[in-house]
Amino acid sequence: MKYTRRDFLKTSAACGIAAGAGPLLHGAQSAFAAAQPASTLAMVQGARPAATRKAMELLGGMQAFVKKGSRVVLKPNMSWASTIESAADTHPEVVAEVAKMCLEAGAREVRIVDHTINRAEKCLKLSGIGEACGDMKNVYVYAVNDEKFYRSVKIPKGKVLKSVKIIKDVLDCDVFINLPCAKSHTTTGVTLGMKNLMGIIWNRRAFHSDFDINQALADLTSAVKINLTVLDASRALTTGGPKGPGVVTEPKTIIAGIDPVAVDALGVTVADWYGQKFTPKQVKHIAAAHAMGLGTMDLPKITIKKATV
Amino acid sequence: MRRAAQLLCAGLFTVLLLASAHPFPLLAPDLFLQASPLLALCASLASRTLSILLLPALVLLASAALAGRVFCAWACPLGTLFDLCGKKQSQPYRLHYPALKYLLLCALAFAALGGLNLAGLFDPVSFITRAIVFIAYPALALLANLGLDIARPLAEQLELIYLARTALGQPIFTGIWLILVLLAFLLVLNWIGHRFWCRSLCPLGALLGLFSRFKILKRHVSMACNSCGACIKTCPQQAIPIEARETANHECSLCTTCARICPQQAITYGCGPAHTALTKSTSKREFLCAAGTGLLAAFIGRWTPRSIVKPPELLRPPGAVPEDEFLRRCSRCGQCMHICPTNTLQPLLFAQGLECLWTPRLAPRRAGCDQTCRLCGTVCPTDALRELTLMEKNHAKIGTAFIDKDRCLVWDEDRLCFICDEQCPYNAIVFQWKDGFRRPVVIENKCNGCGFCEEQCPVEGVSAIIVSNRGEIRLLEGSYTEAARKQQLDLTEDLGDDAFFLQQQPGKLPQGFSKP
Repeated sequence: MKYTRRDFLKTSAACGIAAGAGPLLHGAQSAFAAAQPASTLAMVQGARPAATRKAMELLGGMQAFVKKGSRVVLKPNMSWASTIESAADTHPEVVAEVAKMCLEAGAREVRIVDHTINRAEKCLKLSGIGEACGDMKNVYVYAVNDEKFYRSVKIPKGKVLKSVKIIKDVLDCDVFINLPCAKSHTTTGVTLGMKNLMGIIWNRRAFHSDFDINQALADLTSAVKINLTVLDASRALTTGGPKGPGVVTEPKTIIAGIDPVAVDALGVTVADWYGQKFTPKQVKHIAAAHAMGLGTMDLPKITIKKATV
Repeated sequence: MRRAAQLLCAGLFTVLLLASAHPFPLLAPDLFLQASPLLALCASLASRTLSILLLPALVLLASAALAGRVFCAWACPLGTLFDLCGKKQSQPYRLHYPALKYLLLCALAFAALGGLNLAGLFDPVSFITRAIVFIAYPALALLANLGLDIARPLAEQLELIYLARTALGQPIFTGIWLILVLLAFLLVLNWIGHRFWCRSLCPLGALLGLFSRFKILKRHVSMACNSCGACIKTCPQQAIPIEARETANHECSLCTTCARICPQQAITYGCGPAHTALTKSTSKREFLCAAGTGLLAAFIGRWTPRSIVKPPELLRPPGAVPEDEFLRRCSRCGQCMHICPTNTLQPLLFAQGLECLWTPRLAPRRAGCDQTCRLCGTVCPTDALRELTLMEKNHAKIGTAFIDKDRCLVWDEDRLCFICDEQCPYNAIVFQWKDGFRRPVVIENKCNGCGFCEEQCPVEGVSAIIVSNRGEIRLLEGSYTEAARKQQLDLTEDLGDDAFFLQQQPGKLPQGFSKP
């Protein structure tokens, strides 16, 4: 089953109504809750696999997203040939747990893909994702480093990015799940869910040379249907990102949700970046996506289902 | 039987060579090259040292002393190619200048004495290695990818997802045309006069010929011979000059063609005394001319602009011995370029003179030099690239990157780019706050020269960050780690750049954030 825009709006509306029930919490801002689609996020602290599972439970279980027989694509960050400890890639335990839940929900196959920056075989090996997921039945882990596996799509909403080449597997799947990790980034400040989408496009260079990268990231987010984002903030690479090495802190947090902007907005708050605290509004690409109406970065308007495992 | 031996050797040679392509385990890709006494001789003459790496060459010399140019007919991969592509001939062979190869050998030896090692250009094993590396290997990858493309729809149908998503990296090399032209030229000559190369040009054949003057295993012709002359016409080496009973032992390769076609079955091979043909020997004058030519070539070849001004863009693979010695040792075989997993190693053509033809260089705009790889040093047959541990190899500084501030997107156009920093495996690129922007700067004593920054720089055309060979470490012997330490280089990863930046500019916002 495809999770359509209509479904998204329905869920959002339901959440909006739920959120509307708590005006005391939100004060004056709640008056605007109906105007903008509110978002529900799950935020769970604890050991990685258990926290990942709990987060999905809070969102209604993986079966709310993955129907029997669906073809699922996961996009972890496995772009860097860095060790698991360096926190430059999504932790393999999170990736493996999500893949497992997809299979349990009845997925026909799970493809774990990335356009790696370092040499593919090294990335798969050092990130630990190849080993953690490669042996699971109906799970395929591979880098997509050849242009022939990409297809150009138009971006009608795009302000600076009018078209982009995206991995065909991502465009053709039933369910696309973004699995970023939380890192600082030399150019965009932080790299969370939206920045992780740089790994599904062919021409990354253009983002640096041809466009304002912050707006281009928002444009890119509008170009793909992201059914779910699961942010691995079990660790945060707070300096030296995206590649590391750098200072790694341990927020021990998993954030999941449908709204890609909301996930990133909450993600900004889990750690101090470069030793400073930032609000989501201060992150230019998050603000740009919010302005385009791709989701909300207003934390008070986001329903956060919290748990600790 | 000879054909079987030939195919076996050619097959072994090709398999050893191609099977050692990344990521397969290393077998012994340089076995045949090490067995070439010509490469051994010239490398030793030019560098005035003897390398134990070239011991296998003694095996070939011993075979020559025992049975003459038996290698040429039974094992040489280039000879096999000539046999496979040749035309059967019944007339005495055209294009026969047997003395030429001895003169070429003499010229090469004297050029080597003069410090110019050109043996690799003429050595048959080196030649066929280059042909395979630069033509067959990329062509194979191309064919394999074509096959994968054709099989892909079927693989998708059968849900063979890994197969459907496999695409091999396509190795490419500069100047393939030159190899193609040379190979085509030799094959045409081979068509006109079978084994022209072997009879008239091959300096390795000449060297083996010299060692076979007093060989033991010889061609014998019994009294049954009626001097019909069939053997004279068909001998691929033209080693039976005038009279069927006589053999030019230094030319005969024991290919047994004559024994097979002899109507009288008069030809056998054995150890006893046999009639040796008297052939016209090289005159003193010719010898002196060749020697002079060699010395002159050494003078001209080495007296290039390179010998005066070191071209800054010439990057040698890590572990390359000092340049002069490197050029004397390098056999121009192309193995290092073949094994290189990122394809950054490319052959030099004439940009640095004849002396540097087919020698390897790094092309960082094509790719960087991988920190987890030390393969090039492990396949070099003449130790022009030293075999190093990973630690040592990563301290063998290739050069230093510098930023062209007039081209850099950040320096020149105030854009948000930091790909070079993102790519640098050594954290040698840091930020400095200047004119309201954090801008990239290279910390020179942390830069290894690996070139990933230059490869990935998003500027169109020439990169805005370029690796030059300034600061390269080239050692004939001893530890690179030690040398780097002495120069106060820090070629390891550390937590670096952001801390550095923040200390420099307390209170400044990192890039990507706006004020609250």
